[in-house]
Amino acid sequence: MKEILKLIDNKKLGKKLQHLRNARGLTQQEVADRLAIARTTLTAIEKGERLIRPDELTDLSKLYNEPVNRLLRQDANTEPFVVQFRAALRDANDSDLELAIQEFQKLCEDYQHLEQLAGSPLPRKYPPEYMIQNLDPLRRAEDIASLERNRLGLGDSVITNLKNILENEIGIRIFGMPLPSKIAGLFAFTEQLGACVATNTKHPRDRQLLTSIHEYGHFLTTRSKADIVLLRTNPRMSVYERFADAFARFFLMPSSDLQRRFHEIKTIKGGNITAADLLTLADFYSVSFQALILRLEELRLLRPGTWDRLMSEDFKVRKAQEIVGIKSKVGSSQFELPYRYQAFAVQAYDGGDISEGQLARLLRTDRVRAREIVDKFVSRYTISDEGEAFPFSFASLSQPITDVAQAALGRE
Amino acid sequence: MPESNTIIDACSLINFYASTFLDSILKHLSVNFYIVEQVINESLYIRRSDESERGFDYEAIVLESYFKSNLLKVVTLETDNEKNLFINLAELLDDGEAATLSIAISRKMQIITDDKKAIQILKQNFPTVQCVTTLDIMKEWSTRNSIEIKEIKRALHNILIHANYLPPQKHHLFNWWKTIYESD
Repeated sequence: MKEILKLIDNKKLGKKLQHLRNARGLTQQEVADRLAIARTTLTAIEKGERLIRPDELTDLSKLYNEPVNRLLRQDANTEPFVVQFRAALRDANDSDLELAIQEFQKLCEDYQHLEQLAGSPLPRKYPPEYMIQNLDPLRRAEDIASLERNRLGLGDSVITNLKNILENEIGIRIFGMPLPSKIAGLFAFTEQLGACVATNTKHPRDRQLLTSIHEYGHFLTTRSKADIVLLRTNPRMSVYERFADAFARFFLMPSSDLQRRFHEIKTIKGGNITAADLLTLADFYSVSFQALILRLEELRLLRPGTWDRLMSEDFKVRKAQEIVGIKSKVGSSQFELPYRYQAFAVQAYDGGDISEGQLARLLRTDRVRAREIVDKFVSRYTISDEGEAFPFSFASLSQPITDVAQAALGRE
Repeated sequence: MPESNTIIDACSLINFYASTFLDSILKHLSVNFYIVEQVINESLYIRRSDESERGFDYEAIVLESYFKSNLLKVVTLETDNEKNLFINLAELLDDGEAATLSIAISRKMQIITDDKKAIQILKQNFPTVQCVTTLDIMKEWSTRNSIEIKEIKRALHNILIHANYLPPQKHHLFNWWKTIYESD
């Protein structure tokens, strides 16, 4: 067995340890005391000037709650996301948010690690940044939404799989993860990891969709700056935030398409549009009822103030959706990892490149649920004539996982 | 086949727990069973039952009673050699797996694991370590204790349903498993 501590890049490991200590708000003295070593020893370890001992690394792993396996992984040196979010973190003074940002970075690094194992980096097809300074953000948002829809070949059609489009057509990494409730989403960018987005899985799916496109709008105009989307809009929002909000609305509900559909319904209904029609229309665009009503107000298809009036009349959206038969799109506290990420993780596991423990950690789940994810990619069950599930399929077991994953990803 | 000191990795521990015969397995093989503290710190779950409309329900694995009755003992990395081995293995495996292997190698224990990568590492670097799998233990337990076929089948079925574990076709006991599983 090779002596890993003599072979790894000590400077990289030292920097990682320093970032972890800073993220936990610990001083060198505090950590040194807990490890019963001199502060100068810790300084030398963090600078990569002194070889760390196995027991020291194990102790630091426990103290920072970071697996040794992850500490030893030779990821590219990435500046901590928390540095990019420093100003927002200072304002929010929220330790949960800081932890969530760290987890967001780990997800992005894990994704890149899996791509390295698969030998398949995420292609970046970034469009140039659009200028919006000194221009009307709403008008610019509508223009750019239309340009981007055309560039992506979407025309005016309804978007069915936005995450796949943003990942495969542009190269933006999008994760669903539990975030503090008041946070709708996060955006970060580094040269090594590229553009990365996290949406809050605790929020309803339509809200998550809107957040993804908000962050996409942010990427199109100010991609070098990190961004936090708050659930409640701030009246002192910057021009960039107002642009990103409007961009999301215009991108999801293009004016021409929405006007056409609205008038079609109106014609069919003899001029009388009901709340049920609008609930169905909102579901069609995968947006919240509120987002649709406000967009229709914006287009002057509904009277300004319609949403406020509905609220003052105590209109219960969830109840109305139930009556119309629209399924609830409530969130969860689970991680939602990109399909490609999961496919690479399963491929690495099936090929013996990672263990089950590593697989479960990468998939942010426990081992039994990780086994279920493996099953999704490598079907191991056949159905008998009687409809009974029998637990092996020789055909699928003999098919290389690479083929399965590649086929699932729509590649040759 | 079971050595007097045997250490269980998390992947196999889940299977035994899911079988609902963990107690019997730990009691009736005349072996001292160990697990590492890193495995206890991992959140381990099994599935409750067949999938419903809402999906599966899960329950946390609770081992306290086995610790209390000394059927299962927790071990930690102690010597410099073990800690050094652990670090070298932790570059390749998750911490729980690396600690399990380190102690098995250092203390010459038998190891129970079904993990493909862990088995590969042992074969390549530590070929003298006695390594067995869930099925080896299930077969040994059933033979030594003359367990009825329908009970073995129930245990294997539980492992499949509650731990979602299906032995690979290349497993040397796959045919044994298949025969039991297909029996009436």
